[in-house]
Amino acid sequence: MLYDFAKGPIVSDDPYDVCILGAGAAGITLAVRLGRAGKRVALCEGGGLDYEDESQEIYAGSTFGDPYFDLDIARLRYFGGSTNHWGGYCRSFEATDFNRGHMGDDFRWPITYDELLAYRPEACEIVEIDPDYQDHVVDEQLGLRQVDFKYSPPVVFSEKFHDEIENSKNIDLFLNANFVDLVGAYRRVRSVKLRNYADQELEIRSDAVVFAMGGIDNSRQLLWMERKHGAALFDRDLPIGRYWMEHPHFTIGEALIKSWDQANLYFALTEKMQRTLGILGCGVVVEEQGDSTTKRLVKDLLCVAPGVGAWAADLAGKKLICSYKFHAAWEQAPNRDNRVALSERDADRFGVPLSELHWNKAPIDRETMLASTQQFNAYILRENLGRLQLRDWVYQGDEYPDDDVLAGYHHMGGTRMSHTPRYGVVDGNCKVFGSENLYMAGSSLYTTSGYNNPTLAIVQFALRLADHLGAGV
Amino acid sequence: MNRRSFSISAVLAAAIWQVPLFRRYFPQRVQNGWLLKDDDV
Ligand SMILES: Cc1cc2nc3c(=O)[nH]c(=O)nc-3n(C[C@H](O)[C@H](O)[C@H](O)COP(=O)(O)OP(=O)(O)OC[C@H]3O[C@@H](n4cnc5c(N)ncnc54)[C@H](O)[C@@H]3O)c2cc1C
Repeated sequence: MLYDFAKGPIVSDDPYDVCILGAGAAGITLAVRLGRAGKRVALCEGGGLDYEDESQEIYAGSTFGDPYFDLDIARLRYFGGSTNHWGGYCRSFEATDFNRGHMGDDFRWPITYDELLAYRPEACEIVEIDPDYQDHVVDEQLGLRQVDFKYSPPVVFSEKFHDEIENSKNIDLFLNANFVDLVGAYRRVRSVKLRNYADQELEIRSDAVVFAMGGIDNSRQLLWMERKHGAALFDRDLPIGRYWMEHPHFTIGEALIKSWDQANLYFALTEKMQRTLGILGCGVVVEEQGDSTTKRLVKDLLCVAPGVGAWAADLAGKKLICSYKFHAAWEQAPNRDNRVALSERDADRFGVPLSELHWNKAPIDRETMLASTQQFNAYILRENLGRLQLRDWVYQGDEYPDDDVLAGYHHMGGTRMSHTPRYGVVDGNCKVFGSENLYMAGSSLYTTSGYNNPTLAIVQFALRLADHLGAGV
Repeated sequence: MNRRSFSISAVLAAAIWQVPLFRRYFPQRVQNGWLLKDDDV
């Protein structure tokens, strides 16, 4: 059923099995799986069926540190969440990502890679991609792999599941229903309070409550609950909002490369090479450019290195060499100081402090990009495929440019999983430490970020959480 | 440590960090950003 709280007061009497706050990729996946399994679900979405300024402005916030996007343009706040404008690039975590204990306790996941992998086929079906990822090692010695990306159409979750949710006897979707508070005691949430834009209130009782409000607002709302309720509902002093991560995305340079017959290729390093170099994951995307770029690069190469320049000019004349731009998107080391915090100055219309995002890249993040680029370059040189030209800021060691892609709109960490409340906010079952029935869904769970886009794994984690909450029984 | 020597060492530390980090991974000839082999020129 669908209830629009914008149309007037709603009274909810019967308790639900699960109340999910936020209807994006995570919330919708979880609701649908639980609903199909016969669980009574309240799916509460702060926005309506379409974009509205009054909802979107709640996503405003301030950023500190490295240049980043304005927080109200980096995500969407209505039914379907940011899947209303995602790109559909899909690739999930790799085994390497769950094998980083050697780098320190804050790299340690409380679950195994295989526990997550079990949900990949079903997640691929949901985002409508082929589950068969064809990666292969290009060069064992240099540790270079070619990796496979899949493209979702892209599936807009609200469109795909609207009819099923509306017709479901088990799922009640509440639109324009903004989460504002939890009610409970003795580490157990009893109900949630929601408000519409006319400031009317709705209280929903539920056995379990799941935050699925995205990779920034899961932290914001949980910090707010800690401030309001102290240790009444979950452990105090959890690292809420901390270890927030993004994927830095930058154009690293251009290249002249001969005899490649594909327009877009993705490369990464093997687990062994990442370990040898002491770095994290980095994907290098090599994208074909036009003839005018090839001419410009050949001319430039002729000026600095006439020998190899003449070789490139000869091949260009025969159309046997092409120009490529190469971008890198990479993994950041989890850093406790990168965090979502509550603004002390500004609050949204419901009185919840707005987000402050403190985000910086660290030296190891730069090393990950440099070392990965060098392995890729070593391969190009050894095979005599061509030559790479790095952007000035890369080889001169300058600041990152602020007019590049910057990052991926991937909001990860903040309510991360861990073995221990010292390093994380939730346990391996996504339950907040110290709580009996409060859970997190979405990429705020991620202990480490890998270098791949987050949404396929968000869906895997949501399916897994649904099983934990009884859908799998 | 006085204020002046502190700021100089901070600048040096930054410079020492920047150059070797790139050089650690790219020891070869680099001209105008091109990563070259010795016999390219
Ligand atoms: C421009 C862009 C391109 C992207 N491209 C890709 C890509 O190619 N591949 C990829 O993997 N990922 C991509 N992403 C990221 C992807 O969109 C997100 O990872 C994904 O949508 C996150 O799902 P989620 O359910 O955790 O959060 P969201 O989709 O953000 O959903 C959160 C939901 O919670 C609701 N909500 C928030 N606060 C409240 C509240 N107080 N009460 C009730 N409801 C609330 C919101 O309205 C929203 O519907 C992209 C993102 C952007 C912005």
